[in-house]
Amino acid sequence: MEQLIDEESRQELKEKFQKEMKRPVELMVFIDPEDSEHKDYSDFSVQISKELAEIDDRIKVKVFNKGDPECEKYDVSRFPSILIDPDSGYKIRYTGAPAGQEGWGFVETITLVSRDDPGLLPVNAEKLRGLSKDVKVQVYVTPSCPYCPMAVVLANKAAIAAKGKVMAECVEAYENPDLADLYNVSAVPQQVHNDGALISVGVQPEDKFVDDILKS
Amino acid sequence: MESYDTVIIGAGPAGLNAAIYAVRAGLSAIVLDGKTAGGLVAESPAIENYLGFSSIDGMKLSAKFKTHAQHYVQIKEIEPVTDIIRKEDVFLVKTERGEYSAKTIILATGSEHRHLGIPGEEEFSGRGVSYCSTCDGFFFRNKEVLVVGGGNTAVGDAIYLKGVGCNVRLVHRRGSLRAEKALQDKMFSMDIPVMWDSELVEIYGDSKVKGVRVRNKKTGEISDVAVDGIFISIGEDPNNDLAKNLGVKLADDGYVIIDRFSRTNVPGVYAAGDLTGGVKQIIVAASEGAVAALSAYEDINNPYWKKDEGSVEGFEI
Ligand SMILES: Cc1cc2nc3c(=O)[nH]c(=O)nc-3n(C[C@H](O)[C@H](O)[C@H](O)COP(=O)(O)OP(=O)(O)OC[C@H]3O[C@@H](n4cnc5c(N)ncnc54)[C@H](O)[C@@H]3O)c2cc1C
Repeated sequence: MEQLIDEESRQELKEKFQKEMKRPVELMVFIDPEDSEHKDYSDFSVQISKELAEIDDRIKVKVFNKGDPECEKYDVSRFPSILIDPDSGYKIRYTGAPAGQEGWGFVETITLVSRDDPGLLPVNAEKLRGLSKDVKVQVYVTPSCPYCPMAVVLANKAAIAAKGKVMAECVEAYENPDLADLYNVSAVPQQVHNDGALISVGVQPEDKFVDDILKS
Repeated sequence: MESYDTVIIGAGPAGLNAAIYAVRAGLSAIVLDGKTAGGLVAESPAIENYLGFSSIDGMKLSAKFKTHAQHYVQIKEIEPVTDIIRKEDVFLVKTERGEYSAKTIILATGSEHRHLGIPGEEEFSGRGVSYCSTCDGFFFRNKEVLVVGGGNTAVGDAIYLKGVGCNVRLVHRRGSLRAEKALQDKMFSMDIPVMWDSELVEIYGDSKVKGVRVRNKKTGEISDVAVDGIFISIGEDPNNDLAKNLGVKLADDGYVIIDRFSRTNVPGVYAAGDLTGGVKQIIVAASEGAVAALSAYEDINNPYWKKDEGSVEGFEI
């Protein structure tokens, strides 16, 4: 595969990471080398992660294959999946490659995690910090949807604020049509909380997004 | 509070190009966008009329715009501007996250998709009704979809959806299309049928869209058409709330009136791009942004409104 991130963008990202990152962040990429249907997506996921690691060495990448004990340990059953810094307690994952428009949200999330900064309005971060239950927030996306990463980043920010309580999962619908069909997804971004307890379509304002999590 | 020579609202082609010209002229500037940089360009499946690119998808072009502008200026995304207030010689720009002060304001807030306003449209929004073919087209592959409209965007959407694998029909309320000829030729060569002189009167379904009721405007006949998806591309309405609050003069259709220097009637407030109506094309938005920035530069150094206190001399419509 040719280089995914061009020279100009590499330079921009280098500066961004230098300015905004505080501590190392680990990306765990899970792939199934036997699965030819998802091969392109898996190759993409590994390569994009490695290219980011080349740009800033505080970004660490580990690749696991289907069947490795880590799949069970981190509860991964779909390939490719990328988990962002799971060992520091965050539950942030991309089910499907962070391709197309999703790229910037992925990068944004890495920098926020690196600062342990939810990047939400202080009142909203505070509300989430007090969350006592576990809430799973899936955001269904397509790589060609320009607004989707906004919804994904909101979910990821919530997962940073409510560390270990909110699980944010960005589900790429092209690669996971069975999941998308399960919730009748026909427009993205679509949020699905706790496997269907609450469904909303479109990018939600931050206040509503946070209140929806508290309600779930 | 952060202060700037100019605060640019909206990071579409108009706002981003304004930023490049403003900073290169020597002004301090910032761009604020309620969503993400790139504006509506990012939704376009294929752009074939922007100089320098024979064909480029909107996502790539908007990313290039953003990267280029970021060489010069800070772009704050997901920071909608809620109000702008004039305080003596400066403007206070309020967002959810803070306030900025500015000597001049460049409004480049673009427009929003227009809705049909028929029964079922809001109810089924996101459950079969969509305003963004690139976002949602994938979910309708091998399914029946209608595209409503007759302009460039509608025809472009129909072509895109057919390419994704949808069974597409176009519904248009007139007997001919407004879209440019090159697009029409492409659509007809792909065997996309058109329902002429027809308008949707209702969208119905259960948990998702099942069909639409269509009225033939010539015969008055009403028929039911079973469809899975409806993509509405009937044009846009301007995002003019901020302009209105500032006392900027609007045309009857809500678009901001500017002169050939991109000045509005309010001294120190400029507007550019789709917000000003007209042909609504990327290249035009970018050029109006450039003009707005250069006028802001000129007026900061040499305010026309101070030459003759109070009047807006030089303002031509
Ligand atoms: C599907 C589609 C296909 C198209 N294809 C083409 C094509 O092939 N060729 C072509 O030339 N043109 C095309 N266009 C038109 C083109 O996209 C627009 O003319 C152009 O984007 C206008 O630029 P703009 O900067 O004026 O506004 P926009 O691109 O609309 O950007 C406005 C920005 O302002 C932001 N904003 C709005 N309100 C606020 C607020 N209160 N606070 C902060 N930010 C705010 C918005 O979030 C947005 O990012 C297409 C449009 C669509 C929808």
